[in-house]
Amino acid sequence: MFQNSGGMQDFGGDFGGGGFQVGGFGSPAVGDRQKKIRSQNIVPVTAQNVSEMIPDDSAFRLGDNDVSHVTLVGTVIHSEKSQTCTTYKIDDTTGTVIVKHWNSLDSEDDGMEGEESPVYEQGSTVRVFAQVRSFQKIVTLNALHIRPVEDLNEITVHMLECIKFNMVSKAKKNQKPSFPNQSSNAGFSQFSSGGGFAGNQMNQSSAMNMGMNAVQTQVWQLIEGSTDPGGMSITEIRSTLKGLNLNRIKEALDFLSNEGHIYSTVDDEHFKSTS
Amino acid sequence: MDELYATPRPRVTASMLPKYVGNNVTMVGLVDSGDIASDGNSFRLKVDDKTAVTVVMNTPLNELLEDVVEVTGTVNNQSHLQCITYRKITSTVEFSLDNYNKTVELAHSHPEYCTYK
Repeated sequence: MFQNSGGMQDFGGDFGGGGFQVGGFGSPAVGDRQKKIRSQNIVPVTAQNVSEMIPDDSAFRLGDNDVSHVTLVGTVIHSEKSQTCTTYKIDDTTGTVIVKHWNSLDSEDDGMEGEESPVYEQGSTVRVFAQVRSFQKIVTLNALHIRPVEDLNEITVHMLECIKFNMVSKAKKNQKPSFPNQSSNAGFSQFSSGGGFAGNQMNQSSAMNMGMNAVQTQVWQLIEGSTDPGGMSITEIRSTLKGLNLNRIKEALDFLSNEGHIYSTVDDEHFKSTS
Repeated sequence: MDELYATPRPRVTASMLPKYVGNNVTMVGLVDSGDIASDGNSFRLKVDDKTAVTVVMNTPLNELLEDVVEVTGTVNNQSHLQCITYRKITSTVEFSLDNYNKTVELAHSHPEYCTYK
């Protein structure tokens, strides 16, 4: 769902090369290696969570997590348009949040006026992606992207995501490996720093849960394990995985490169893993 | 209306109503046109397959309610909902009331995961 939100490129350099993991629960790999780095997750929150945020330097803390970007689903109960921005008061039954949506600078050019104008009217349900800001001790959100919610099951899903993020961050804090059936591979990568999961085991279970079938998993693990700078060639894969015919290997490679797990290097026959 | 939004109005299911007497809550359910009282002062909100909650209006309904509706109101001591405001939920994809109810129950059974305090 998050991949289709659009408008993500507006975020500028903040997110590095990471892209967004489903649900935004895990940090991209870069974040894991550097200890003190601004959180790059989009945290799903409820209005109540927003009121619980504590300003911490230039970022905010929510429990034990650093948050800078959040997503929220709620109903517009008030909207006020000014020359520079539209201010919404959004309610999600747990509380209300003030969300400011600044007019896009592009609107000065011709033809771009429609870009920032949709003012969401009272009573409409919207999803907001925003940066957290505080102004005179009140936490407000600077909206980066707002869109109407068309499928109202999104409300249900958002509630669940908020609960899940809370659960995962509390479990991580207790360092309890109590989520053996965790389907998010990001959850596992957090646990590995706490110890208890052999790297191989983690990769295997995370790969199986990334929606790959057996062939794809084998091919991917092989490529990932290769240390050759030029990548692994199709012929090498074939000779190692003797049970698979060429077509199935090629199909697996297509799938993996479409999903972004591998990329071609020297030519179309050599591949390396992206992780 | 602004005072309504000053305090949280938790989402609840029918079984939780007795605990919230006197408080403002939000409920989502189905309304069938046959469930609306002829004087428009009340209607029955089907919150799940087996349970319906009576919603009492301050001013009579002036429109026909149908399908999914979200009602915000105060719980009275007969476990009826005194409606303050309502809105129709129109969804491009069928809204799963069943999943919604399960989520609300989950949130209530684990309040520690709904807050960061």
